[in-house]
Amino acid sequence: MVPFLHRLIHSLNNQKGETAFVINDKSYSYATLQQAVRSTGIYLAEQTSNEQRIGVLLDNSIETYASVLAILLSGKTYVPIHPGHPENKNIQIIIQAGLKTVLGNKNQAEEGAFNLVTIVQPEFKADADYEFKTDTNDQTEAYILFTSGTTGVPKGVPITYENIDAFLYAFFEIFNDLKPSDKFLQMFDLTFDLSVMSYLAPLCVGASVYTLPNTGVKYLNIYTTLEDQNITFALMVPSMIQLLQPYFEEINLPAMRYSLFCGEALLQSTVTQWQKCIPNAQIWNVYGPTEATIFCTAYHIANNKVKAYNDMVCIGHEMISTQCIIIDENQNEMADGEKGELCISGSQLTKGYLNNSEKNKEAFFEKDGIRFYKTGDICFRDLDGDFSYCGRSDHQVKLQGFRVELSEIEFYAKKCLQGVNTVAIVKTNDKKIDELHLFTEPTGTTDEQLLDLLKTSLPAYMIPQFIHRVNSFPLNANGKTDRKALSAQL
Amino acid sequence: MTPEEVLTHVTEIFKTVLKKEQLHLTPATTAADVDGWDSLTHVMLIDAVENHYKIKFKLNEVIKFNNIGDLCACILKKLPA
Repeated sequence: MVPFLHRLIHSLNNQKGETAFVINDKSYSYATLQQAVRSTGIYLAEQTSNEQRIGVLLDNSIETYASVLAILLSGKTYVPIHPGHPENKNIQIIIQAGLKTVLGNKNQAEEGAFNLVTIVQPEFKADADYEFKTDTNDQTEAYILFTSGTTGVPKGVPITYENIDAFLYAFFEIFNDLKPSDKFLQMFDLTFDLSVMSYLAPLCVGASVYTLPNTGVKYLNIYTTLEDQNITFALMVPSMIQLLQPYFEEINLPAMRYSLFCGEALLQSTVTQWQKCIPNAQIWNVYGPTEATIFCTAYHIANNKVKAYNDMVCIGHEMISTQCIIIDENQNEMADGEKGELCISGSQLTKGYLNNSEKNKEAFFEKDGIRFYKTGDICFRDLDGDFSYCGRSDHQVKLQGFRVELSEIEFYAKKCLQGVNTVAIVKTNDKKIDELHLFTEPTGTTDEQLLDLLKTSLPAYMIPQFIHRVNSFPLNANGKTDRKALSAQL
Repeated sequence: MTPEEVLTHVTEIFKTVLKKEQLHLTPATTAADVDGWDSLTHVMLIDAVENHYKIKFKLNEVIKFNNIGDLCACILKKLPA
């Protein structure tokens, strides 16, 4: 197995004249990328020798990607920070990760969270010479991503260099014919771990990465990028093609070789139609939580049949670095065909949440000397060894691929409404698009005021599309709020 | 129907879908100018406009809506003279 750092350096050294990135219609060669990475590498070596974790203030720019790569090629840890996310969330990330330096454009950073750190954009030097570090200890953190937490406190998930190597080893074992002429779509914020595959896998094979513009409407930007740039490899969240579905008859993307979906349930009824838009592509449904590095199971959707449960396409079997089991509530392993909680082990698994021993005790356990992560996903394994996803064991949902704790939305809504009870529900509309509804008891706050308040604490994808006022919440037999009854009112 | 009338109707539709009573749209307004106008609400907005005018947009029309003016012009083109 060739470590990813060696693969990266090989591409930087040997693909110099080829395109590494296309960002806002501008191409950047591997040679340009190498110089940008070296320039940042020199800064990191000279100015941050005592800092392991370095923040990256995200922008759709070559500087952002050069910063990420320079941090990795310096043996350090990158922590992405989204300037559009609420200040409170960014403050918590900066404090939890103990950041002192953040690489990025100062003009993007508003006062508040970013007063806690030094923001620097290292100067690009065409003659910068810097020796990349390739002997980083496997157990060193490569990046830390923060996911939604039930009480409004984001959970940090550190992923090591070993975890990334294990992922890429498994990835290239499946997708083993990728080549420098491939063009990869990169549709994700770098706060979302699917971005790591979308920029790192192509750079490891000397291929090109096509990012999306910050302006405009995302699903339309995706379509125009796929079509105009003749993208050959696209990892997307299913909701993006769900939004394009009314126009499938107009879509024909013959250049596409691989179309992957991850991040939320892929619907069989949608993907069978999508197949016609990409006549020359293999379609894969891949699955995995951030804790198990990007994705760790994969299912190839054959032309003639799609395995699905309740219209949700099967998530396939473990990739080569992963082992999965299904357990009951007493952590007993369950037989094939029986539903239970999917648990993951293997070399893609995180060493545990950042500074959060309580969550670590809840989410990780050992069985027969093997460490497992409890995903909270209810699944079963069929006789072919494929896993099917059936639902969640808690109130976590996926919105546009983002992992969202509904209780976090309720927590902040209640706070905004001075203690009034609230319930958040996701309901799929008649176009099979998930919409977020918030129920509240009556208050003097208007919908517009509530939404404005929520935007100060929650990122855009967690803002409800609909608000409903109810005098009281229906209760189920156990005296708990009856979410199904509320959902039925919609 | 005049372009001004279409803009007035579209503004009302946007106010309802985006829950923004004070929303002011001009032909130059883009998604970046309006808080809450994202992929999901875009679909809801297009849907609401199509239902209101009983028209259907094609994908190659929708991708050319760079601003409200483009949207209004396309609506006008589809309405009976």
